[in-house]
Amino acid sequence: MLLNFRSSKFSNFALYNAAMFLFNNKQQILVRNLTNRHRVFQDCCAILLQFLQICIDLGRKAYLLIAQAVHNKALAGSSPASDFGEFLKLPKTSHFEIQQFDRFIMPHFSSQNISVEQNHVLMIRMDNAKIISHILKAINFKENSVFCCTKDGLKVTVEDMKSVQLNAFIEPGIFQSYVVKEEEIKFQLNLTVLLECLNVFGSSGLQSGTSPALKLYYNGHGTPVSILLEESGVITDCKIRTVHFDPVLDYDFGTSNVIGRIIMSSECLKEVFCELDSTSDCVQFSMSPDSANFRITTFGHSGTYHVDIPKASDVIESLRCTSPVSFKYKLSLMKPSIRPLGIAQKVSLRIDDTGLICFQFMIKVEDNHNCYIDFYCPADVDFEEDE
Amino acid sequence: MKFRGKMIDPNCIKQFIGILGCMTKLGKSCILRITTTDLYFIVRESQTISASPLIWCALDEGHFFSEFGMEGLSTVDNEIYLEFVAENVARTLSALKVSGTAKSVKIKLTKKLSSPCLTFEIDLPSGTNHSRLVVHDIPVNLVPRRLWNDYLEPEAMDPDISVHMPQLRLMKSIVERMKNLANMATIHVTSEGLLTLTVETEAVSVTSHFDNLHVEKKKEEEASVTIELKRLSNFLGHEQLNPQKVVCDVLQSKLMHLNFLSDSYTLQYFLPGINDQ
Repeated sequence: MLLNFRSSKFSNFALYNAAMFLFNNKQQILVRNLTNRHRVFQDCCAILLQFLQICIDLGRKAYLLIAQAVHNKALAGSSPASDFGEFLKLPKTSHFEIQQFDRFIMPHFSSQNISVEQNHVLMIRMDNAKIISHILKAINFKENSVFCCTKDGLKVTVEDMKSVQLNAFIEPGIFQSYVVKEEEIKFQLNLTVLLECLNVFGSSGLQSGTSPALKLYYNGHGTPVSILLEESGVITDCKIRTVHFDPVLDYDFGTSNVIGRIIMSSECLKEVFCELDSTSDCVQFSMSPDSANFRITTFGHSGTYHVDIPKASDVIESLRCTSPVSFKYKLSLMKPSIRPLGIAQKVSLRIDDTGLICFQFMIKVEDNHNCYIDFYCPADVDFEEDE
Repeated sequence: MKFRGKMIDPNCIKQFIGILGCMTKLGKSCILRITTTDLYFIVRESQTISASPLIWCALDEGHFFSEFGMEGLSTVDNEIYLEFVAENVARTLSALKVSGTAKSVKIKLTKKLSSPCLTFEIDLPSGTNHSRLVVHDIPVNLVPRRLWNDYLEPEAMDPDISVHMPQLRLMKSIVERMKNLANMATIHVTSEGLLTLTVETEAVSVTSHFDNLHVEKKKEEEASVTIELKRLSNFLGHEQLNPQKVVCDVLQSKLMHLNFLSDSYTLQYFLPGINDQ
């Protein structure tokens, strides 16, 4: 494997090829033509470090063979090869050795370097990609999704006709590594395609045996999202085109406007939702400080059905209501909430004075971690009724 | 023409069911060719040999049958070629699977209601001492002698590169997912034992790398072929056999060949390449 640093044009793809080359047991990586032009040298060292990090991540040893001619040019002075490692500030692990080598080897190198790639603005690493696909699958009711990455975590939004909105929140603690180099990174991509890629090694459930390792990179506006997945030695790499994101509605749910709030078991609510009369156009949620129940009503062809869940029952953890609230919501708009409801352990419902309802689903992923999905739906405004 | 075979070993029966089940899901009709030593199942989408995929399965009768007897068309052409509709057999198989382990399965060529049939007599365990016999008659067509040449054993191909595929389970799943993204994929094999499967569309490009594969044969440094994903996915999806070895051969731009090898049978899948126009 030849890493030719004559020019600083070096792509991430080539780095990846280098890592793949190690997989083929060709463990000698030759560094040559490292010039001592300062700027180029700095870039090259940065790239070299990235490459070595990939090797560590993939659990492979790397042998960097520094040709004699190289290190003399690169380092003014005659420091031995081991100093090159110190110069690069490589961590002292057994993962790589640097040896001096006097003859060039020219193995076959697939020259697929494309454009100039600099550092990633977003880099995520996970040992088990199933966690992220488990959560994102629940919000995939439409193809397009907007990703918003900040230091607080990843937020993925899927929206329908500027009305209902599902957001998934994954905090950085869930990832093995989460690096965001800008304050806010936003892009839009096809979530269905992303899920196909994440599930490329099989889409069995969260708890099943296989757990593909994931690395996700993004280099900024206009570049594709790169995903590297590894399972049992097989590596799949995907590049998904991103487009400039359409702005999404920012539902502002200030606590001062919230009239009613319930925290309850999602299993119970899911049972109720699944049994709702589908001939009804809408579903009504009602609660009041005086009533003992949380009432869910449908108005179908065969009649009006009420489901009453007593405040005092085990399934409701807490119910707070400042004044009576009762709003109708189109049943068809409520549909996207069913999937997250199915994977969550707890759900909180909040209704504000305009009738906007927010469901927040709490989903346990690993032992101590939770992810959240929230769902916003505006009330069905009935022009015939007098308010 | 006569044919009669009896299977009593439960593993053989299970394996036979697996093979027959696989064949019947891969095409509308299937050809059964019986010789004195082997049974062959042949599925081909269309009569033109070159253009369409071909599935060829050969079973060693000595392994499967405890009793076997056949008399072909004539002493010179001592073979039987039958054609049957896959769906008819599928129902028989589901009956076999549902009822648990059969004690024995007899397959005979018979004539029922003046048309030829392949009859399965399945002896099932029952609660009492009496035996329970289930008989399925599958109507077959006898393939006329002049068409026998259409179903000749495919020539041993001379691939550019041939590798041993160990991770079929992962490949199955990858092909299944790729099928949802694009129509065609390119398989690229190198003489160093690296196999990559790539799809590329406007929205996404996905490449899977299988490396450290044992190279069985190499005539060239590398070879690649573009194939139709739906077909490959269909084949891999329905294949539920546990072969000892799976070999993948690639003939540059022309053919991808999967060879499932086991002691008692071989199953070959020939998938022609698509020319990029």
